[in-house]
Amino acid sequence: MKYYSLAKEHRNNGWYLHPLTGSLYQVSSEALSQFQSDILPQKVLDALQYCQFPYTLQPPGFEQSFALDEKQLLSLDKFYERIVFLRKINYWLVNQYAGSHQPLFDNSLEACHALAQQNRSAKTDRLGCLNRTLAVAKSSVEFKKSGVLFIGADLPMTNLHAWIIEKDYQPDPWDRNWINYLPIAAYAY
Amino acid sequence: MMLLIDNPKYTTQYFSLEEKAFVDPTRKISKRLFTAESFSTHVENETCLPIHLNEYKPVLPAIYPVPARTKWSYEDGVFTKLKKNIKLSESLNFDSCLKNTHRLLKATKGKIAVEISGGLDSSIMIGMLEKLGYEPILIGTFSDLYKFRTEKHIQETIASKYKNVILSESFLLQFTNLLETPAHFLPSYMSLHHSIGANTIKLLKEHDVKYVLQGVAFDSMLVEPIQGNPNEIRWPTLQDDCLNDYIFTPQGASYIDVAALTPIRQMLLSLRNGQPQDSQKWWARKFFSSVIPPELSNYAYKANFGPLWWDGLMSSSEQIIQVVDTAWKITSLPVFENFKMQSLFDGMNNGAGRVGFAKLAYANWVHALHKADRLIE
Repeated sequence: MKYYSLAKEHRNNGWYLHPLTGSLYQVSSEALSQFQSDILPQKVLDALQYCQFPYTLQPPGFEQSFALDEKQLLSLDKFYERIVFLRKINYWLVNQYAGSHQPLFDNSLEACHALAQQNRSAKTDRLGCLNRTLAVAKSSVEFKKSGVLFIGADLPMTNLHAWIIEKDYQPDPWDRNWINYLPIAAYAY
Repeated sequence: MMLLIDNPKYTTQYFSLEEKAFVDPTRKISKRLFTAESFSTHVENETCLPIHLNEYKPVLPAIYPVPARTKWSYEDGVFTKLKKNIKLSESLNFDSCLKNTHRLLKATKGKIAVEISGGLDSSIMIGMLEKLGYEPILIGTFSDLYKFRTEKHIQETIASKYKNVILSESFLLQFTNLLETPAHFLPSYMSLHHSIGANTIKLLKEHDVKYVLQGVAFDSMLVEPIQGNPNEIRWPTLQDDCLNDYIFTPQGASYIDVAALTPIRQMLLSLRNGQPQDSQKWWARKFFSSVIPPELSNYAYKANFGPLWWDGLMSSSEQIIQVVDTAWKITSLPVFENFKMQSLFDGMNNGAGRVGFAKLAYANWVHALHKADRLIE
């Protein structure tokens, strides 16, 4: 997956996410343009529009049911555990791992439901958003075509959050907090 | 001996177990009562948010805040609530909700304003009143922060149908003008936001409004699991009425938490009886779908207010430091010594924000009493 910086200005300060450390950095407003990606692909621009106008997205899909087999769930479990392990070592490394696409599910909605079956959802684990979205990005066929993984900041607080926009939906129905975060970085194939 | 404690008034009254009577809330307080124990019981109250007098830890010796219109008994060290207990009903439906709302409306004796936040709770209140043909004054706060774009959208959608809509940047007044906080008898977190209430009163002055409805208690009534245990629902808390008691009532108005009113609480809890926790309020989104914008019945977005508090702390830091410094001089409590604003921000970043605000609320209490010349040696 490619990293796109969406560095933003908030109350006269610039903020960006460092692609190697995954940490939030504050810079002067004047220097902000140096930290912004020059060109964004159309799917990132489209997804940003959805972030700006969340009511244009499809409503969350709680009711959907997917036939998930044991093999898919086991593989997803492995992906997730590796992501957790690699993240402890290095942020860049875990992104490299997640960016090597290994399709398991037709789309991210299915992948999110599979994670929820493993008790990994925003409902039970608020802090695991990056692990979950990386696992979804790695395993969803549709994500590779249209998905964008965003990392946002709740400025001026320094809390970060990760979420996905794929086609015209945000695939994690248990995540209702993503709207609070200003996108400052995007990852997409 | 059993004590009967009856508060028929519409504001919190303070009962002393030592004096076996309600005390005058404007009386002077001895500085010697500002002890480490008093401070820690206050922090405990602010973090546990007691709903029952048995859970409350007295900040002033043996003095308890008795909520408006409640009656209690006290015997062998135990309080029992005698009034305002909830009994669940069966066979309620949307029409009974409308009827109950209508009854409530008929009992009012003046103009009503409703806080319009752009969220679900206030939209339900506005939608129900609209369904009954009543047009309240809408008063709300807007913010240009990115995170409030969905609230803003809903506010605009609803406001476009109303004649009297007052929108201000009230919410930027978090922690503002602490030096002007009215003297209050017990410390309360809500005192830190007195300016928001005061601004609401100011904005509504020309409309002669008697009731300002707000929807904080919906967060409990529409969310908590209800399994035949309505009196264990953790709302209203004993500290909820600070703004009503000290800001609205002195100006001849009432600040009403609608879902905390006994008939509304009884109705909502009865309707939801048997339901598990519903954090995203999907039951309410569907049940009230005919009176709220479709965006609210189909989506469950929720803004958090952390950054507004953060901004409020930043812009009010000079006054905050002055308030805490005064508390240190008066109480000599080590917790107020060498106070740093950064401790509040660190608390917010690591999930301990409430403890920091509790500390500030205690300091603000001491400062307000001091300023009003209500302290004695």
